[in-house]
Order: sequence, then C-alpha cells, then structure tokens
Amino acid sequence: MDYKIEEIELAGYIEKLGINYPEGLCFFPENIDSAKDKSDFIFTDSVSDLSKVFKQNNINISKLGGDSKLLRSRKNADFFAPAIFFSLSLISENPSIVSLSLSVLANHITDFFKGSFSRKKVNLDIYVETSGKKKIQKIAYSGNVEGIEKLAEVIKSIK
Amino acid sequence: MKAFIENPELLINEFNKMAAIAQKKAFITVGIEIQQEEIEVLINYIKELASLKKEFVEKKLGNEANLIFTFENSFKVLQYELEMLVFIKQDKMAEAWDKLVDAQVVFENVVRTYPFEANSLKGYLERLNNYEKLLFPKLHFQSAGGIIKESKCSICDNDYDKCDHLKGKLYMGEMCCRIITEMELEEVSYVENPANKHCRVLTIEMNEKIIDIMTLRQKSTTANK
Repeated sequence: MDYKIEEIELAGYIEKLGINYPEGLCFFPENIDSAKDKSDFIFTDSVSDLSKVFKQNNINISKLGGDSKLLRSRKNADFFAPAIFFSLSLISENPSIVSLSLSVLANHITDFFKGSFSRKKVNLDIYVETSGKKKIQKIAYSGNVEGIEKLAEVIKSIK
Repeated sequence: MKAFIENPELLINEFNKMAAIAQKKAFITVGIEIQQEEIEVLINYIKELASLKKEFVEKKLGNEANLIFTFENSFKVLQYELEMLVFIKQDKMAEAWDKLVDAQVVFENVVRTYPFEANSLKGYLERLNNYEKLLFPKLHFQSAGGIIKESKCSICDNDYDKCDHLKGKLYMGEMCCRIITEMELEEVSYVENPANKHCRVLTIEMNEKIIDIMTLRQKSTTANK
C-alpha cells in the first residue's frame, strides 16, 4: 500500500473562499488550495458517478461549495477518484462510515476495471479532520483497488 | 428470431454455437476468404440481434434486451478479431492495430455486462492481450486531459450530473455513456497506460526520414513531410 500523509491547514482556504466549513462526508475539488472562488472549483470527473453510487448506497455526501460544473477528465487508464473529506463529528458519531464509504468506493472501482487490459492503479486523496477545524490530515493514496479498504485502518490510526 | 422471444434459452444456445464457429476461424492460418465470409455472417447476425433487441425493448423486457446487448458486443469482438487478422494478411498494419483496440474496448463492455460466470471470459481476455504483445511492436501513446464544462446522459439526454443513470451500466439494452458536449483541452501527454490505444505515435524521425512505427517503412523525408 503506497500512501503519504501530510497535515494541511484547511480553515484558511475555506475562510478565504467564503464558504461553509464542510460537515459530514464531502467531495473536495482538486484545486482547493489554489481556487480564488468556489466557481473555480475543479472536481475529478469521477465525482459524478460516485455521487450517484453513494446515493444508491444511502450514504449522504455533498460537494464542497455546492454544485460545480467544472470536472477534470484524464484520458488515462488509471482510476482517479475524487478527494473525499471525513469530518471529525461524522467519524465520532458514525465510526463505521469510513469503512462503509471506502468499501462502496472500492466496489465501484472494481467494476470500472472489469475486463481492463491495462495496469489497474487508483489515485485517491482523503482528507480527515482529526481535532477540530484547525487540523486536517491529507492521505494521498496511489495503488491497487485492494488497498483502498485498508485505508480505514490508516484513518483510524491518525484520528 | 421469433422463437427467441418465447424462449431466450434457445438464443443462448445459438449464441454459443455461432461464437464457437467464428472462433474456429480466428487463426492466422485460416484462409482469408473464409475469414472474410465469416465477417459478413457476423455483421448480418448482429443486425438480426439488433432487431430482436428492439422487440424485447417494445415488450419492456429489460433483462432480455440487456442480454442481447452482451451478445451483440461479443459478436462484434469476434468480427473485429477476424478483421484484424484479415488486415494483417493484407499488409494493412495500422488498420489491424485499430481493429485489435476496437476488439479490446468492446470486450471490456462484454465483461462488464456479462450476466453469467465471468471466469470463462478470462481466456479470451488473455488472447486479445497476447495479440498485442506478440503481433505488434511496443507502441507509445498519448493521452489528452481537459476540463469538462458540459455533458449529457446518453440514456435520458439530461445533464449527466442531474440524472440517476450510471456510465457503463445497461438500461433496456443500451449502455449508458457520458456524452461530453463542451470541454476545454488542458494538456496532451505521453503515457504508458492510455485510456485510448488508438491515440498512438504513428511515425518517428530518423536520419531526416519519417518512418512508420508499425512497419518501419519510410513514409517521407523531413524535407517534404
């Protein structure tokens, strides 16, 4: 399993953009640290499918800043998942949400790779709120589908 | 075809029989005229399947229509495989490559939508993969990336973000696709693992000559490229 963890300061970006601090489960744009306005937000294009898949599995998930029309598409055989944010309150109230969400994500990607001839690599960023609004850990994962569900343990260890 | 509407089991038997016949002809040693004849048989059969699917859709038989989608695409894979072999014999290597890529792409759809035990498809997946390794040189690919600004759903024609249809899933015998209607190109890069293997480097420049990567034949000189 190949991942990197770094601490990031999210509150500053959120404040600058004038949007509500995310609560619960939320998809993050790729350019959260460089967007000047929420209308500049660019989400990974798989966010459209995963929003539908999460809804089908009765998991509430929103997009930071509401609906955005800009989606980055990469004509690459790797799977680029949208960045997912887990708030501290959500993890505390519903500890199983992390493993459930990662399992839904992994199943969707397994379907995506069915019949694929190419290397099956997933790129995924996870943001976890660890102690209030000031402290966020970003996990940048790059690896196979099987490794996604194991990230639940990584999240548990940094919480 | 009418009997199939009453008993889809018959259709499955015919599918297996037809596929076995076509597969027996998908070898490089088989006569080109026999392969060309089989391609015609498959094209006509695919047309018949399309009419049958229409009947299932009219009767609102979604599972049956989806099964026909999988069969249609399985036969398309066989058709493309045979066409690849024919093009190789005709010394049309770029066309042969395109047919192999078509076969691989459509086969992915077959695997994703196959309603039976998919393990039986593994051997064929390897066969298509081995063609790529054994018959063609190592190729270099390009990949385009960009920002999608507008897209719609192929099933309901609504904004793809607003409907419940999922790309790659079957709905009444049709596979849902995201149709991108507005996109801003951001970059084109060289990649090892492209989404689209049609997007490849075609020629290289060597000693002021433009060389076809597939055949190593000279296409032109740099002076008149």
